[in-house]
Amino acid sequence: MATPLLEVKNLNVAFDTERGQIRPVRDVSFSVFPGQTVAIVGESGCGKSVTALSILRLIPQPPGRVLGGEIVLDGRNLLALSEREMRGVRGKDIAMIFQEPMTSLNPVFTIGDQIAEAVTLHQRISNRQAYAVAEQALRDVGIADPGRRLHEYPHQMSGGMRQRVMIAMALSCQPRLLIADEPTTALDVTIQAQILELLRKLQRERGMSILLITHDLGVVAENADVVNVMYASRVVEAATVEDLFDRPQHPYTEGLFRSVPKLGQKIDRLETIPGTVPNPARFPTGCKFHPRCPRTRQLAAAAPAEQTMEAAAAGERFRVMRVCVEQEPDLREVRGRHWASCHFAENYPQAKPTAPQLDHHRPEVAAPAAAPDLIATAAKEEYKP
Amino acid sequence: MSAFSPQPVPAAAPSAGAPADVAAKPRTLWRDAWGRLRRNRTALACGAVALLYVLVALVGFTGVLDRERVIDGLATPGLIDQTLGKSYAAPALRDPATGAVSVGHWFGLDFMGRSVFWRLVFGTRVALTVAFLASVIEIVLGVTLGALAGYFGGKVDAVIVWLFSTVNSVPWILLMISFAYVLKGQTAFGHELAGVPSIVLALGLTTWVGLCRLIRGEVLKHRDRDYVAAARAVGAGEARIVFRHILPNVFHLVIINFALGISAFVHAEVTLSFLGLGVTDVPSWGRMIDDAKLELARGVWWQITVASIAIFIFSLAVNIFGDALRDALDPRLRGVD
Repeated sequence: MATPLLEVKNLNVAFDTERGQIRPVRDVSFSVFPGQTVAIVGESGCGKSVTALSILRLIPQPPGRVLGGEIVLDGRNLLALSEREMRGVRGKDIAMIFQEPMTSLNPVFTIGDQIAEAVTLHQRISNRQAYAVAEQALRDVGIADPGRRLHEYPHQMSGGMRQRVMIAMALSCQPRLLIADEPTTALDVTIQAQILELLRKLQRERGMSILLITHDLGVVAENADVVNVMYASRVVEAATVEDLFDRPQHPYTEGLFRSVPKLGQKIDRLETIPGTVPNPARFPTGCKFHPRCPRTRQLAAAAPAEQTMEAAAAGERFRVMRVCVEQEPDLREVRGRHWASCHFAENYPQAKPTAPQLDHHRPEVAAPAAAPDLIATAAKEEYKP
Repeated sequence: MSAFSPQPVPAAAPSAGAPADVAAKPRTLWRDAWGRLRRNRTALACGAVALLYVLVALVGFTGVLDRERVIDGLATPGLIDQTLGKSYAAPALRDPATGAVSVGHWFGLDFMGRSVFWRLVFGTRVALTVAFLASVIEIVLGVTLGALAGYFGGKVDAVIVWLFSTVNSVPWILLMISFAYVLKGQTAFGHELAGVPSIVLALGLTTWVGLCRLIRGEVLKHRDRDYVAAARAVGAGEARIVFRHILPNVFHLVIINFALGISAFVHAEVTLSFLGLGVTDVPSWGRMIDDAKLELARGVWWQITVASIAIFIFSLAVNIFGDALRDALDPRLRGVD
């Protein structure tokens, strides 16, 4: 197996709030291999953005604190670097693009100024050369007339174009890992498709890895090689994208798939996962998903009484398996290259708790043949009345 | 072959983000503001008036005004007032002694036979120098401390807030008096610190508080914006973020503060000189009013009138222009972002 580009090991992050300490990231481990697209999926509040920001150490230190764990890039633990060394990593080895392109650019500087700054922060080149790099970066992300765009201000561009500019800025120093935090959530669907295709193209050209944070399973299905599903600050399932969609092991993942409406379905109500995401200040005991979990309720209905107990959620009372309330399951390799944290996943009792290592790439789809340039061929033909 | 052969259609290159706006120049905050200002006739007129004062002040720096004209008194005094025994002269077009048209006599002579006109010109120079230099001190101190307090928060913020609250709580006039006394008789770099340097220092070191508070609030608002996070993610350091990224976004407030503050500084200088705490050795608007305050009862009206009108017109012009500038630079009226 190749060496991973980035390894996150047992990351634990805490926030000190007035209501006590909350832990948005608990014992999170995953790896990103070169050229891979790793997706982190989850609902709002599950800890995926905090994980991404922690990799670049962008969490403000009061009130945030990294309690433990390692983030290893090239053999260096990023959590142990000084702030100055970390600044050398940000933008250069690892770059990040954010969710809101409309506000991620400084309104009083031109696009060219901002991209050129990203370049000069990490390389000793003249301003003129930096502008040339910026122009090329704009061309690479598909912006027409880049020479003119360099002198424009962010408010003169649409959301899709601003996101392209953000990507250009992020890629200007050739990073090996791009962290994309919900890059298309704020854009409309057609632009979303364009941006994702752009990211795929740039990834192929540069052999770059992408850590894609999203809540959209469609985006995951089309773009990811490996998926980590997060719930309540932990990774609850990790697998290759094909395995995840074929045989989800964790009831939460199953619930997510069931809630996606499908064409041709004839139903009266959309399916949801009943209940709400738990408040990090008041997590339930044991498995954090147990109050909403259909699997544990089903098993409890058929199990002998001493293995079950009563639980309550949202005003309802129901019986669940005792072990789900008493013990929080850790992440174990329940099938080949498929990790899950559920006491009742296949093989769970015999499985080993290891950190997920998935060096997997989705099979290459042959690039579609270039669309025939009808206009050019028509121009060459003679018109014969 | 038909007579009509269609021309080949040029192949259009597919491009993403086709340029929709073909504006000649990009709309920046400054261009928008200038456009809005230009349409405000009153503001432009007031700006022109303020500019006129600046030109007069510059004249005050040339050698046209020699000591005897403005400070020591005329070698050939004007008419001697029989009752008062002093060298007053009412405003006149011509020099009574020579009969020639003399600009120096247009506003009359004061009790020492000094030309009120030229004293006014010199006073303009003093007023604007004080206003400008004090503004520089105020801006440097206020912006730096405000930006640091707003951005870093925590202990840095606590110290700076304590500092400006303390300075702000002391009655302004007491601070001025103490500065005047402490600096009297002191010298620095070969210049005496009493007079203009003393007022400049005193004013600068007391007015920075307002600007500091303002900038601190604005920087606080900007610190959590997305573009700051994006800049940090690209590897920018803290100092760079504060001074190169955030500050240009709040700088329009500094400009407005500067324009409106000029008037306040001029008034402060007048008050202080009137109280004897300000300029003592050279003429200034405040000194003129101070010198003339007792003359009014004796029917000598020209010095105090002229000085008051000059101050009034200047303040009015600067205030109107400053307000128009504030409206022009208001981001909410911009309609962008």
